[in-house]
Formats: sequence, structure tokens, C-alpha cells
Amino acid sequence: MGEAELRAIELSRAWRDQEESTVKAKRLIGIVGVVALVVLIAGYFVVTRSRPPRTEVRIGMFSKAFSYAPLFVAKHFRWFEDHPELKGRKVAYRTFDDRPTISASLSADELDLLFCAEIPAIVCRAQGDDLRIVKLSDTGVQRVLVRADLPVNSPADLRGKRVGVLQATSSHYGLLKILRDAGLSEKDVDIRYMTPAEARTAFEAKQLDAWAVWAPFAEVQEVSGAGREIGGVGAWVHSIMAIPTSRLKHDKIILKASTEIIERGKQFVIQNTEQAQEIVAKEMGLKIEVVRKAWPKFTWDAQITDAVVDDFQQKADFLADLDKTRQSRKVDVRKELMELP
Amino acid sequence: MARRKWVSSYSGAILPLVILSLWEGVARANLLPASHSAPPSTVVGRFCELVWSGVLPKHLVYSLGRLLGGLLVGTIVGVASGVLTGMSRRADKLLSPTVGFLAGLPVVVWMPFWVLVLGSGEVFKVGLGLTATYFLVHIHTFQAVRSVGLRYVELAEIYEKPLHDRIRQVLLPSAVPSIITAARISVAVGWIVIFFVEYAASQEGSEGLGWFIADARQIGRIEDELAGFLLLGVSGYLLDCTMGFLQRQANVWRESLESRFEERGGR
Amino acid sequence: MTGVLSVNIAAMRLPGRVEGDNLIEDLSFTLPRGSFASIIGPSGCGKTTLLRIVGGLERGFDGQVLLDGTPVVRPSRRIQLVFQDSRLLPWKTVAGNLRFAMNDNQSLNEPKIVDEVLSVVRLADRKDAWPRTLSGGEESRVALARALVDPPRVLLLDEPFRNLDFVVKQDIQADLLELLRQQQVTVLQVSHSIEDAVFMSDLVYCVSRGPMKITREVPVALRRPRKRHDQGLKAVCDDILEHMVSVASQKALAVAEGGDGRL
Repeated sequence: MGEAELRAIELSRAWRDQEESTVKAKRLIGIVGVVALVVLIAGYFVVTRSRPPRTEVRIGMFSKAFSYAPLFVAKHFRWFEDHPELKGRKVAYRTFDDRPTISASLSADELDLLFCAEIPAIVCRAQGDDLRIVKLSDTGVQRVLVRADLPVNSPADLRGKRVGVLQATSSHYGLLKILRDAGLSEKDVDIRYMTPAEARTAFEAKQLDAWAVWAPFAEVQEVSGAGREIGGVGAWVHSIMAIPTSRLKHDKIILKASTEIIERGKQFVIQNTEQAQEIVAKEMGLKIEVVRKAWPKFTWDAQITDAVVDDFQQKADFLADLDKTRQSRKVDVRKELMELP
Repeated sequence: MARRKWVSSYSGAILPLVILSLWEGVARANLLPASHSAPPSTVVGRFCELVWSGVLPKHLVYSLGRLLGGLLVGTIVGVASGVLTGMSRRADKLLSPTVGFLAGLPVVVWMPFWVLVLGSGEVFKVGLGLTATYFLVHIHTFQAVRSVGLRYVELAEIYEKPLHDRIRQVLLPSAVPSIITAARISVAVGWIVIFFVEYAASQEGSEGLGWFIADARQIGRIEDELAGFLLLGVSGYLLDCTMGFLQRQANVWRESLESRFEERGGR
Repeated sequence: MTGVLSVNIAAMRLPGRVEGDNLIEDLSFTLPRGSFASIIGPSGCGKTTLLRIVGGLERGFDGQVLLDGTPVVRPSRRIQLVFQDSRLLPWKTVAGNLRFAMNDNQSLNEPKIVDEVLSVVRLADRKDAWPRTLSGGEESRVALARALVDPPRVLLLDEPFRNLDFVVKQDIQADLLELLRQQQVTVLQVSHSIEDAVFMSDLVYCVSRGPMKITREVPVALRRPRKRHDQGLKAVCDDILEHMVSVASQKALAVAEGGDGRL
């Protein structure tokens, strides 16, 4: 082999080596890049799962409902803002239109207190949100509203009718229970799922025959004469206050302060009926007649007892049997949902 | 080389498998909030249950029916107006400005209009899919008819072909590849539109994949929700494959990149 | 007299050109029935436009085209034009294209007619092929066959043999001439090949460009069937070539290439 050829071989070997080391360098950069990305993603998760400081009281409620009267009273008199142990905390109120938004907020750790019926709390728990029921606001009866111009007088008459309701609410439970007690199943009725706002439009436009909804929506229609409730049958539901378990663990003050405030609110509602009615009317933008019509349906001095917890469990089982919870799971209320003192 | 051929045939499956494995691991290790995640294995299991019990197929048929209904009507009307405006300058001047303006409106804006005209319910859902389809088909047909070129039209004139033959034997065949392309895009867009209509307007009726997913979400049934999405994605993919097949059939006579690929054996 | 084609163009101007800048000027001739005429001239002088005018596809000109005494104002079956770009419908097979050209009475005999015309152009085996699979020459031949499906009174050919090799061309021309003679078709052909023109025609028109005018009319009185290497034929070809060259050099244009006298 001549000198030129040898040099050519040498050069090509050098190039090949250089190419190989470039390839190796690129691979190394690639691996470092992927590792860095993974570390960043993991870091993001770690950071976001850390607890926010205790400088706020974030109060959420599921729609605006009558049952939140004690809360409305507390809001009106600024009891949360002025409570000695909550001094310096920013208090924020938020209304949710549907249950999935609540669940999303819970998993993002955006709530300290949640006001709703026991039904959404059970469904949230079944979905995997870890929260505890700590207080009972009131107990009330759920009925079904029907159009005044229709000859529907008992639940059995609901067969084949168009009924509006929102899933995983006290009214949803109420409707299912009323149907079950009358020997009907969901399939016997044309159930249309919608929020109260949508249902109101549909009901007033006569696109619904009946509407399972909570106070004051039903009462507004009663007062205007567009609807009346199917009398005699109803389902008892409770309005509760719940606290996310993570908050309970990291923020000891919130449980004590909030239960005190709500108890105070209940007492106010019982002893100062007229003033409480005015506060509720103002908070919800209702006419006072509507408020007065709904008032008798509620019991304001209820407390959590064994019987109440048994009732919660029955409801959890009922929902699971009708496949209205995640994977049709029966929530063990005592273990998973109750904060026992 | 047998190994290379195997890799290239199935290489499309590599990325999904990697993503699914990562997701399974992440879900099982509880790195995501339990209330909003489910491991793929559970989702697939639930998917199978829902398909076997006929629940998902029922909803799929409803959604597909709405899509195909809108596709059919939109295509027929779109071809008609595309041919009309393509052939007649007067029709073009009359109709095209309006059609062009309306084409730019987002589908969402059409919703209240359709509710007004068709009422809410089944026809309304079809109406929205129709809207997405119509404009696409119209514009593609119009351009195809215009670009047929004087060449073939003169041929038809020499042979004294009557109008219906001119449309049937010259204009339409030349436009078919464009029409099918437009239809293929319409199917993809329409599938999304139908889903959103069913999801957002779930108070109208109680069927369709969008409705099923919305309902599952309301009661926290994450596995059902994700199973619904799985079916949505798979169906969309299969629909597109079908349209792609039709597209290739329609292009048999064309000298194009596609035919060259076929002749060379898929390189 | 039927099949008599009378062309009279006083002036023809392309759109966008100024007054006085005519593409064709003072061009007129008459072809008796069954005659075969060719036009020889430089590229771009307007020969294709002339064919389009005769075919009724162009109407923006001063003058008149008469077929059997009737003015030609629109395209029709009676005057077929075989375009330079063949214009086969790409979405129909060869047979489909031929069927497109048939008139209503021919539908019963479709397969027979298809086979017949394809055999004239030697493409009987490509009946079911798609146009995109045909070579340029095959496309031209199918276009020609298409024109023969429903034989017209007048056939206008725009460089029909341009894409064909010598052997195929020779093979086809004899059969083609025979068929045209039988049907008494009057033919006007545009060609770049002087030899082709002389071989096939009864009359050759030499035209010049800028604007297009007939510079010479060459009757070809040779007996048929003609032979390509016939002395008489060669003499006529040389005569025409000399004339074209002198016209071209008079106008200081590019000179012809070699070969069979292409301009």
C-alpha cells in the first residue's frame, strides 16, 4: 500500500472516530435531557402536593341553597373574618355549579370548607376525594316539582314524563328514592340531566314536565304558579359541612373555628327567624314570599347522631346499588367520611 | 430484512405502548390524585365490560348516526352548491360572498341558530355536523370544478354532451378526489363537533358518546369516562382509516404521489 | 356539395393585443369533401388557433367559417378536433374515453367499435388501461382513435404524430388514410413534419408568422398509395423546405434543425 493510501486510511479512521464521539456526545446530551425533563416533572408534582400556608379560609358551596342559611348568616355578620383564631386570614367564598368542579378543586387542594348535601359528599368520597363530614347544618325534605298544568299527582304518574335533575345532588337522590318507593325505575321516566339554571329555562318553556330540585328553585316556581310539588312523599336529606382530610391534618384550627361559627349560625337562624329570612333573601336575590314558603321544610337544630350516620350509610348503599358512584363502590361512611370527635 | 419489515409495520404501536406503560406506572404509584386518575389496565377492563354489555355500542351508534347524517346531507348540498357556483359565474357572484362569510363563523356560533330553526334534539345535533361538512365540501367542490379547466369542458362541447352528462361525466369525476378529501376532513371535524354538542347539550336526550362521558363525569365514574374517551378515540381513528381507504379508491385514476407509493410497494 | 369547408379569416387578434397586431390576417381557403390538407409553418404562428377557429372554439375574429354553406359558430360532433395535448379524460379508461365519444345510436355496438378503432391505432391490448399509464405516443393514438369513433365531416388534427416513433407512425398512417377516405372525411392537419404532410395530403399550405398568412399553396398530385422514399415525394418535400427556409430567412428567424425537415 502506498503512502497516500495509508494516509487515506488513517484519515478515514480519524473521521470515523470523530463521528463516533459526536454520536456518543449526542446520546449523552439526549439522556441528560430526558433525565432533566423527568426531574422537572417529578419536581413539579412534589412542589404542588406540598401544603399551602394557613393564611386563608376558602369556603365552597354547591350551588346556592336554602340549607346554607347558617353560613349566609355567618357571612353576613363576618364571623369567619372576625374570629379570633382565624385572625389575619383572607376569607373567600365560592359557589360551584356542578359536582365535578368541586371534586377538581378538592384534588387541587383549593378548599378549606365545603357546604353541600351529604349526597355529593358521598359521591366525591367514592370518586377518591378525601374529605370528612364535620357538621350538620340542617335537615330538609326533598320533593319533586311538577308543572301546574299537568295532571301529575303522585310519583306513579311520573311514568314516561320528562324530569329534569342534576346528578349527584340531594334532589337526584330524592328523585331516585321517590321513584323506587313508587315501584318505578329510572328507565320508566325520561330523565334529563341539567343544572338548575338550564332546568329553569326548560321548565318555564314547558320542555320539562317535572323538575327535581332543591329550595329555593322549586319555591320560585310555586310562588309564580308555574309549578307545584307532589305532596305527601319526599326524601329526607341533610346539609352538611365537610373539610378535606389534608386540611384537617395540617390546619388544626379550622375544624374548631368553623364548627363553632356554624353552630352559632344555626342558633341565630332558630332564634331570629325573620332577620335570618331577610339575610337569606338578600344573599340569594329572592323575594321574601319564596323564602317564607320554603322555611317550614327545614329543621335547623339537627346534630350528627348515630341515626344520622346510619342514614348516610343507607344513602351510600342506595347510590352504589344504582351505579351512581365510581365503580359502584359502597362508601364505608363511618370509616371514610366521618370525622368522629 | 424480515425483522426490519416487522418493525416498520408495527412501529406505529411503539409510542402508544410507551405512553401507556408510563401512565400505568404513574397511576399505580399514586403520583396523580386518586380521584382523577385510573390505570389504563382498569380502564381497558371497564371498556370491555361496557362494550360487552352493549352500553357503549348503543351510544356509539347514536353518535355515529348523527355524524353520518350530517355528513350525508352536508355533502349532497355542498356538492350541489359547489358545482353550481363552479359552473355559473352568475351563481358564483350571487352566492359566494354569503357562503364565504358564513364559512368563517365558528361552529359554536351556529348553535343558537340551529336551535331556533330545528328545535333542540336529534335534528339539531345533525344540523351542527352538517354545518361543518357543508362548507368544506362546498369550497373543495367549487375549486375542483373551476380547476377542471377549459380543456375537458371543450371536449364535452365538441361531443355536444347535454348538461347532465357534462356534470356526470366530466365535472363530478374530476371533482370526486377533492370532494372525498373534504369529506375526510369533515368526518374528523364533525366527530369532534358531535362530541361537544352531545357533551354540552346533554340535557337533550340521553344517548351518544358525548352524553355518556358527561354523565359519567357528573357521578365521578372516572373509569367509565375514560372508557368513553377510549372508544371516542378508537372510533375516530377507524373512521379516518375508512375515509383514507375511500380516498385512495377515488384517486385510482390520478397521477399522484399516492399512486407512485402504491406502485413501488409502499416506500 | 357536402363536407365542403370554407375558411375565411379577415383578421384575428389575441385578447390583450393592440389594434393592428393581428395573429392571423387575410387567410382564406376552401377544402372539397374528402380532401386532406396540411398546414406547415413555424412554431407559435397561430396554427393551433386556426384549428380552434375552424372547430368553433374561438369566436373572437373577423371572418367566417362555413361547413356545407352553414356558418360554424359553436363546437359540434361534425367537426372533431384532436388536440395537441390529447385530452383524454383521466378518470375513464381508454375504452371509457372511446365510449364518451360515441353517439346515441352506437351504444349497441360499443365493444365492436372500440376494438375497431383501437386496431387502427394498434392499441387493441390497452383497452382497459388508465390514461396515466399510457406513454405520450399511446395517448396521442387513443385521442386519434377517439376522433374516429363517430367519424365526423371534418377532422382537425393538431400535430397528431408528434409523439410517435417512425415505425409506429408508418404503421398507422396507411390504415388511417384508408378509413378517412372510406368515410369521406375532410381533414385539416397541422404538422411540423414536411414529410408527413406531403405523404398524407392532397394539398399543403405554407404559412408564415407575424401575422399568419398563406405564403404558398402546394398541391400534391402524387398517386396513392404513396411510398415514403419515392422521388416525386422527395422533390415536393425539398421544394417546400426551400420555400420555408427562404421565407424564414427573409424574416430573419431561426433556421430549421436537421432530420426530416422540422421547423
